[in-house]
Amino acid sequence: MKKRIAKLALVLAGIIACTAMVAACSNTKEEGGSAATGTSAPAPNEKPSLSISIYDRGNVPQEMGTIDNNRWTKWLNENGPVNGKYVPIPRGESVQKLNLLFASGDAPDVVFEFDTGFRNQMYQQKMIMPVDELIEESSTDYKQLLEKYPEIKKAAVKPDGKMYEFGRVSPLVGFQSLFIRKDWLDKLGLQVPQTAEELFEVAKAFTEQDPDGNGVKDTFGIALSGETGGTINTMFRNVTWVVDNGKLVRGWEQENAANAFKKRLYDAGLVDKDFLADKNGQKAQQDWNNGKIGIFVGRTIDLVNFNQYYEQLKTNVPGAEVQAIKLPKSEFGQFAIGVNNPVQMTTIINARTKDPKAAMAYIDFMASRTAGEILRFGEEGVDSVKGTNGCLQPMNAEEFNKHVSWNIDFQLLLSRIEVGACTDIQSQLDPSKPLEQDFLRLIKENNEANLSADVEFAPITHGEHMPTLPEDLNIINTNVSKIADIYSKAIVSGSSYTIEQAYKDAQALWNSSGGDKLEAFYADWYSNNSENAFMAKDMWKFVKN
Amino acid sequence: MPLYLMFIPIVAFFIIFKYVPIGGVIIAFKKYNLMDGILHSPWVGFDNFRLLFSTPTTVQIIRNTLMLSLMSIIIGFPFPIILAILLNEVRLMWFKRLVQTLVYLPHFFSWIIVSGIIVTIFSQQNGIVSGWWESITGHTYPFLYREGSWLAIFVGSGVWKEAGFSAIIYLAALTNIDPTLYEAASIDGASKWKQIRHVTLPGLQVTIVLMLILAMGRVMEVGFDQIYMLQNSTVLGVSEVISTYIYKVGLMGSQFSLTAAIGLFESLVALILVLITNTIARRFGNGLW
Amino acid sequence: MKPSIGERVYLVGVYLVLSAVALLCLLPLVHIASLSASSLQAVSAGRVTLFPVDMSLSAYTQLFESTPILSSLSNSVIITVVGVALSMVFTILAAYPLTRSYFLGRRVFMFGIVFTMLFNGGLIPTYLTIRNLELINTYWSLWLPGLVSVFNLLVLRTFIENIPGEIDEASRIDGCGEWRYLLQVVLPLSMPVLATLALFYGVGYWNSFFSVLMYINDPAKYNIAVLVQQMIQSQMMLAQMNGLESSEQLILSPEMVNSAAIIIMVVPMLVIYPFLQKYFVKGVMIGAVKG
Repeated sequence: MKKRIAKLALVLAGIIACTAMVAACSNTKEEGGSAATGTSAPAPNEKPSLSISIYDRGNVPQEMGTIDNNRWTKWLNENGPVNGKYVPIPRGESVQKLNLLFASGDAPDVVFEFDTGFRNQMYQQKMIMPVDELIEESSTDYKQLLEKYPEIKKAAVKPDGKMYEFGRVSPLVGFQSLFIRKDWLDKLGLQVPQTAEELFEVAKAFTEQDPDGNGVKDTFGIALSGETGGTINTMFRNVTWVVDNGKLVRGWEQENAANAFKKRLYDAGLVDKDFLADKNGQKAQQDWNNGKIGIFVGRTIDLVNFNQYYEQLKTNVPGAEVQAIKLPKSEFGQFAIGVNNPVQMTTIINARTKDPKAAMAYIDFMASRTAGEILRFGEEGVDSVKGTNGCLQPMNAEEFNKHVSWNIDFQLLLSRIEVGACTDIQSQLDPSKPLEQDFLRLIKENNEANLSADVEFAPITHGEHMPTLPEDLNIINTNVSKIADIYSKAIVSGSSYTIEQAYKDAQALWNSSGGDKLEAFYADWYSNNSENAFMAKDMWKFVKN
Repeated sequence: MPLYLMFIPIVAFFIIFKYVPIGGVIIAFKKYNLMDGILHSPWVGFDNFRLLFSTPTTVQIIRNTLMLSLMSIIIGFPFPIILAILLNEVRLMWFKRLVQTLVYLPHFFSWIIVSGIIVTIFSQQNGIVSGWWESITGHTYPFLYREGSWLAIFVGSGVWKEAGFSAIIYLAALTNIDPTLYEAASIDGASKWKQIRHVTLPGLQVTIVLMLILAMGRVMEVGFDQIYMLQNSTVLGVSEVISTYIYKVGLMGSQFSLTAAIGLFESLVALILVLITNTIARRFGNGLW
Repeated sequence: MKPSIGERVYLVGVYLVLSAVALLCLLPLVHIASLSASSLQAVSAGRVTLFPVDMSLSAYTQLFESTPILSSLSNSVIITVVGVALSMVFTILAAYPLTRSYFLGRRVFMFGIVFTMLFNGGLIPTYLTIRNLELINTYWSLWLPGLVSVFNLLVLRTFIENIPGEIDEASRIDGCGEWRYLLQVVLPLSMPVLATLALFYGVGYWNSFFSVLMYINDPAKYNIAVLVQQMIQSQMMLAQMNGLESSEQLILSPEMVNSAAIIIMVVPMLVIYPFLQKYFVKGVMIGAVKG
């Protein structure tokens, strides 16, 4: 009997030990605090508390602190209207992490997320707040922006007619650019290609006539992977949904034409045979940088593009000359290569926010010119000084990288169109350096190529402004997305699998997967919304002269 | 009684951290939304399953998943064992340790790196193997773009990456074999091959069976990264599997009910396979329970 | 006794095969190490294969200067050491009773445990459980949910079961209690498998990044796997951004810096393994039986 009691005591001790362990664990977690409740210690300066999401890319230099506690969060809390508590969201897993935070009620008051699908989902599940009244009643800077650019509202409105999102506005500029090796053209006595057919001929000459003059046939006319492949689709308006007689339909004809062109390039040996294995176009870019590809799509949107697409090429092949050209015409028209999204939605307010006014005040502050300028350029006299062009320039590039340039995710409400030309890539390049001068020319050429009056934007609108599909259609959409793979297979299969056969198989897949439902959804959306949704013509209102 | 005492924390662990969350699978039968949470989201019965299985691709995807996984298991299974046996034959200790450490190395490289290496080796334009192939046959071969050779590369890369790591467990098992058995066999004049067959393999039998059952439990989880990094348009007919499909539908982050439904289906298949293997194993006295 | 010619040929074959295999496994490390020690130019032009081109260690200096690699390394060490210790203790406590034939209900427990290997609740329920225990943002959120791996538990159980019955009886006559038997007989005899499991747990904790990203909110607590993952991911993002999906600005860390980070992450795992190998001593058990 005594023994049994002893054993029982031991069992109890075991249980207690277990509980104690769990309890001990919970003790260690006090400082974490829950996010949305905003009950953390009262701010010393009487400002309301607000929790705010911030992307964490792991790029904050160690001595600068962490993404949720650093020079800029301190600056924002000191100078902004709220006492912000930043919740780091790992960039790569942002949607998953935000979902968990929303599911557990710990989501921040203000959430920044690029993913349109995620924001729409939050709307559908009523997790975010309609903001029309809030803006009307308490907004300052953002309200002004909205009045100045009423198109923003088109982009922020959800199917129930209310606004749910905040965004940033940038001037419309060329994003992708079609680079061609001018020195090769000159050497072979060729003209800039104006049509798809001429593009083919130039690519052929670039492959076969040894344009780099090393005596070996080791050049490719054009790339097929990465953004270059996408641009060939654009050339033929192969953008899936096209307007035909005022109706939005699936563009089969365009798809056949674009893929037939790619197949011709492939069969003629003008492209890298392994373009399918080059998933992100990295190999093609290496070839471009090594002077082995004649026609290639790069970007002129960001300062890094200068080194990425031009400086490296010039280091490896000092004699290279590059021109940014218009996308050649096809039987479907002449199109812009690619432009940025001038009105990008980035921000939502948690429906459970205790203090929407504080959230609005924070958004106003982040959208204000003062905050924007200081976040972008750092403090004048400390991080940057006025350069010859009147724009603030980093005093010391290395110091600037260490102290300022990693804060881009605090700039998700910074409307560059308002802050002015100093935020353009042009004002960050130094025209006194020959290579940078060249790239300034390329940017100019590319803006002309993309924005001139005779080119059209191939899709009906920027992808981020397309409607989000309901769950069942989303599955159909994924199933029919294999059509692209069917065509890719045709491109590399020579005569054993032609485009015609691929077309047949693609249609069979389309029909058996319920593609008609998808088509009906888009057609319906277009006929109801082509006037009040944010369309290509709205984008073009943001061209800056 | 001390046994039960020992076991209490374990039971507590499994209940708190395994069974409580497992209760969450009910969202497979619900239309989960964040507002209502797990318990209060509306029930939808088998709707999520119907949605999944209503598409023609689903059958193909499940078939691919099983095929790739079983191929990897069946072909890949013997390699760690062979590796362990070979290492066991080595008498030079430094050599053994060096090789043992090197073969375990690939386990630590992510698939994004490995796939880069694979493309370098097998690409058609200027891959290393393609170079040899061309010098022998006179023309290039699209190793990465034919289903057969792609499957070989897929399975081979998996073996290469994990065999050394999996061999560890067999190396540990080999220490349990009585060295006198080898001496006796050697005195009897048994050849090396006979020693392996009659001493080594029986000594490893329990471990082998255990590993086989455990492999069956993972049959529906073909590594996402491996497939996603290696697949390309031309081989989707064999390479699209459940995990890559989920990723493409964009379910990863948000459509929790559908993901749960797929997960539940995978678990059921794995359960059935484990039960079958375990029943067979029990015949030989090696079952898990 | 002299080995026969056949045996010699066999041994030479074994050495040759193993050398070839080892070499094949060494290649990626050499490649990555070369990338990490080459110049940016050479790396981005794709000129680096097996040897460094324009040797430079700038990637490493950059890594130590501009990323929190030291603190993330020390976090990794904490997570791994404590995690392995906890996991080993509880795995032993779980495995041992399940090997005792007089432990009633062990088949039920076994099935219940294997069941959790096959079924799981998914991300949200697991997260909510951990959150309700208030473990979020502590390393306990990494240690406790992964306390006992079913795989490792089964391996250990199988090994303990194979400890010959003679030992069992011998020690019972000695009058060993359950605890003493476990500590003094079972564990010493299981050193090879314990070393194996410690390695498995260690590798698991060392490489864990997803759970860290989900359950830890404070970047100062991130481990090196997260650091490396975030660096590689910025490259993955590039892949997904083809087309016109986003005008998000990119900050790419150069490939050579990524490679350097990978090397720093992998080397500790390489160094530690040979130390564990010394526990793989043959015939431990036999000695015990005879002794």
